Order: sequence, then C-alpha cells, then structure tokens
Amino acid sequence: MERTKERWGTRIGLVLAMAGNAVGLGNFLRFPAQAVQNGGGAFIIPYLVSFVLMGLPLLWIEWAIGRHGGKYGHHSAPGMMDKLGHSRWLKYAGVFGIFTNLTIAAYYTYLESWTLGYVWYSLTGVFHNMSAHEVRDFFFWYVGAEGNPIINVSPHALFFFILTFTLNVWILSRGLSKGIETASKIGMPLLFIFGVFLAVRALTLNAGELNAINDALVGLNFLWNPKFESLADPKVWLAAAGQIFFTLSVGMGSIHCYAAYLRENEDIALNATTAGFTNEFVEVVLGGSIIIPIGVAYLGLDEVQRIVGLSMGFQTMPTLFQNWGPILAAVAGMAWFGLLFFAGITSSLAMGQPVVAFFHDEFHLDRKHAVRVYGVLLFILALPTILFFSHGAFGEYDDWSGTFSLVLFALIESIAFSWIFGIDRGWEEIQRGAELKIPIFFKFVMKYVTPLFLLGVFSGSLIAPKEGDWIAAFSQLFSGKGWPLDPNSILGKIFRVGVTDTRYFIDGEPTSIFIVDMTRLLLLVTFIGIACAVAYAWRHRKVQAEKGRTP
Amino acid sequence: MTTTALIIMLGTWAVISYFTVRFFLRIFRSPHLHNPTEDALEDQLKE
Repeated sequence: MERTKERWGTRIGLVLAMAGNAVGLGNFLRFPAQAVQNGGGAFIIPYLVSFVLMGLPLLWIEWAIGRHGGKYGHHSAPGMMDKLGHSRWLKYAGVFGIFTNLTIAAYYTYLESWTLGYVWYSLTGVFHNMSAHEVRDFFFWYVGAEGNPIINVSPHALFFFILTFTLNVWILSRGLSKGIETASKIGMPLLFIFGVFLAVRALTLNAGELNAINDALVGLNFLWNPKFESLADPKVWLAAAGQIFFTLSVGMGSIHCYAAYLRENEDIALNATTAGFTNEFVEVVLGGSIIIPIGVAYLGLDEVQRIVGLSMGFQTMPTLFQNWGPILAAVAGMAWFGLLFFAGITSSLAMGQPVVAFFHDEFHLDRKHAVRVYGVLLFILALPTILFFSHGAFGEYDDWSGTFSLVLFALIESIAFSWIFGIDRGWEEIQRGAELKIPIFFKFVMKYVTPLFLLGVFSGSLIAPKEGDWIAAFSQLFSGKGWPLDPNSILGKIFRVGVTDTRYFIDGEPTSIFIVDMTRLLLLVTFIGIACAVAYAWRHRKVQAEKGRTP
Repeated sequence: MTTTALIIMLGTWAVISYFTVRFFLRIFRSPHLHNPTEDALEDQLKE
C-alpha cells in the first residue's frame, strides 16, 4: 500500500488538535448541567475516578491503536481494527469509527453553525433591547421550532450552516498540517482567551451591580457544594462516567486517526495525557466558571436548575449579557458564541478527517476527491437534522450515533486491544517512545477495569430505569413487577416506551413518529453502506494481492 | 460560599491546572515531533 506522506508539523499542533477534538460544546454546556444535577461538588469524585480509570486508559488505548494502524498505512478505524488480530470481523467493528464520525459531524456541523450565526447576531446588536421572551422566540424561529409544519427551517439557519459546512470542507481540503493543525493553533488559543475573559467577568459579578441579584459566589457554591449522600446513587456514577466518556471524544475513531499520522517511535503517552488534561482544564476550570455563575447571578438558583444545558446557552445567555451594556454585551456575546464555535469546529474537523482518510487509504482517492465525497455525504446526512429538527431527527442522530455507537465501539476496542491484540503487546505499544512513565498499575486497569467501566456505561444507557432511579428499579424488579424502562433508554426507544400514538400519518400529514423511524432507517442504511464499502475495499485488495500487484 | 465547596473547588482546580501546566511544559521542552531531514530520508528509503 502506498503510504501517505502527511504528517503533523509540530508537536504542539498535534496536542492542540487532539485537545480541540476533545473540547466541544459539552465542556461549557453539558458539564455544569451534569454537576448541578448530580451532587454538586460531590460529582467531582466519581468524575475524577472515571477520568483516571476509564478516560486516561481509553486515551492511551486509542492513541496506541491509531499509531499502530498508521504503521500499516491505515488512518481510519476499519484498517486499524483489522491489524489488531486475525479475525476478519475486526475490520467491521471499525465501521463504527467511520459511521459515528460521519453522522455526528452531520448534526454537529449544524449545531456549530448556530454558534457562528449567534456570533454575527451578537456583534450586530440583534439582541439589543430584546426581552428574554423575544430572545427565546428568536431561537425557536432560527431553528424552525415555531408552529408545527413538517419541514421548517429559517433561511438564516441554512445560510450559516452552508457557511460552516464550506469552512469545514475547505480546511479539510488543505490537509493535515496546513488545514487542521493551523485551525487548531488559531482556534484553541482564541477559545482559551475568550473563556478566561468570560470567566473573569462572571466571577467578579456582585449582587446589585449591573442588575445582578446574586454574587457570582452563590453560583459557584451551587455548583461545588457537595451532597455527599449522592455518592451512594448509581445514577451519579453513571452520569460522571458518561460525562468523562463524552467529553474526551473517545469511542469515535477520531483520536485513532490523528494518532495514525505519528511515526512508530514517537511519544504517545505524554501527548495523550497532555491533551486529556487540557480538556479537563477547559471543562472543569473554565466550563464551570461561566454559565452557572452568570446564570445564578441574574436568574437565581431555581431557574438555573430548571433550564441549565444546551437551551440555556442559546436562549438565555444573550439576554443576560444585555445587562452589561451594549458594547460589553456585544463583546461577551461574540466571546461566548465564538468560544463555542472554536470548540465545535476543532471537533468537527476531527470527525471529518477519519472519513477523508478512509476514502484516501482504502479507495486511493487523492485528498481533494476524498474531501469532496465526504462533503457530499455530510451534506446529505445533515439535511434531515436541519429540515426536521423539531420533529426529532436531530435527537435521533444524537441518540444512535452520539451515544449508543460511541459507547459500543469503545467497549469493543478496549476488549480488542487488551484481549485480542493482547495487553502485553498493547502495553509495549503504549510505552514505545514514551516520554511519560505510565504506572504499571494501568496495565491491570486497561485489561479489567476500563472494559468493566464501559460495560457499566453501556448497560446504563441500554436499560436506564425510569427517571434514572436504579434503587427503585431494582426493588421493583425483585418484587416481581418487572424493570421500569426509561423512555430515553436505548431499549425504551426501540420498544417505544411511553408512546401511545404510533401512527405514521394523520390527515395525510406525516407525524414525528414517521420522521423518527425514517431517520433511524437512514442511519441504519448508512451503517450498512459503510460496512459494504469496507467489504469491497478488502476484497479488492485481496484480488490485487493475488494478482501480485500492490494496490 | 461554604468552606467545603471552596476547598473542593480550589483543590480540583489546583490539581487539574498543575498537571496541565506540568505536561505542557514538558511538551514545550521538546516541541519537535521529528527531524524533517530524517523524515525525507526515511520516506525515500521506504519508496
């Protein structure tokens, strides 16, 4: 196989690109919500335990799988997984590493485009003099959630999506070093500067100043005050493990891909650990110091507890910034949505590269053509999330690609690495060229603890009980009344728990159930299509090899 | 802010910041992934 000459230009570029891959919108919007809803300061205990026992080991595993695969000219998951053992099925496990990146990028690019749009609206003063209600209505108009027509999208949302999509494709077409690395070197420092600016402004808010009703410290206390009794609740541990899992962007195939551009003796231990800690710094130190202190300062504890999450970032923050005067509000809006944009684009680029690499390596397309194919697929897959956003298409992508597939792939790869490739060879792979001595204790952790952690997270999403109450669910099970599945659990979704009306059409109009099922069908067809592409590429290579030619 | 919340927050921030800075300093001390001349030679040999 022809080896690609693409390499990372600098070490700092690689670490920033990896950190940028991990840092996403969830660092600023999901982490504070999870902490507040799961024990406050006590949440950090299971969170850090999960980081050490699951997050870091998975990072090392994925970097090692990637660098190992890169040695054989594979920069995407199917080829890398294939090189872990002799089973011909391993490459099909790698299909997840293409599927998740492609389908998550499809809805994530749309989400990212909202942040770009909101940067523009903040700078041009669109939110100036708008009431809280009007800012919320503006968001619903923007995403097409007003009224109930089956296809509903604003031209603004489409414009900013196309702009964001084009930017992603253009950066990817410039290549690894000139494109992705340069974007990370610009985006990550700007994200950090914007984050520090907002955190300092948030933490210096005092009650009575600029219309604030609480000190910033009230918000920090809300976030960090420990409820130690919550540590006995399995839901809190699952939430912490889930947060670590999603924040590090593991189980996707993007870390593997970036690591595949390293040479076989280059360090992965220190690089991976630095990227992991950078993500934690952005999430815990910066992410925890913006949305909650500002929200509590202006809205109070109860309201923040009710609305914290993705919607608060878009529907509420622009209103709160207006309290700082028109100029500072515009700057703060630009900084807030700008940091979300940079967090988003460094992640979406990382999702694009494995797909581009797949077409480049396995179908021998040059980068320009591989990026074009990726662009067409991305656009087609993004359309349902844009057009049918308010009818559940976006949520379906998030559930099946952004949750289910990720955890399943991580579970498979951790078992494949430790048990099929072998933990001894795996440990040797991680240690080769290492500039950081990883304690031998982690060899045991990678073999036993990390897969068990992942099994726990996977089971947690598969059979999550009603309202996340595991203790009540087990007592109901042991009293013979069955398991109370939550409608949002994977099985709950498959078996339509809590859904009473399953009609596809009412008065000739398609229903949300129809949209949801068609979205699931599209995702399934995409997965099967990628599996067929993998089968074709391997069969073609085998035929070429039998003819005595190297493809 | 309660003392317990303050200790947990500052302790967590300190640990995460310490390791982030420490690891970054080590990265900055050896910023080059590889030697371009050696890379070109290696690529030539592989071809």
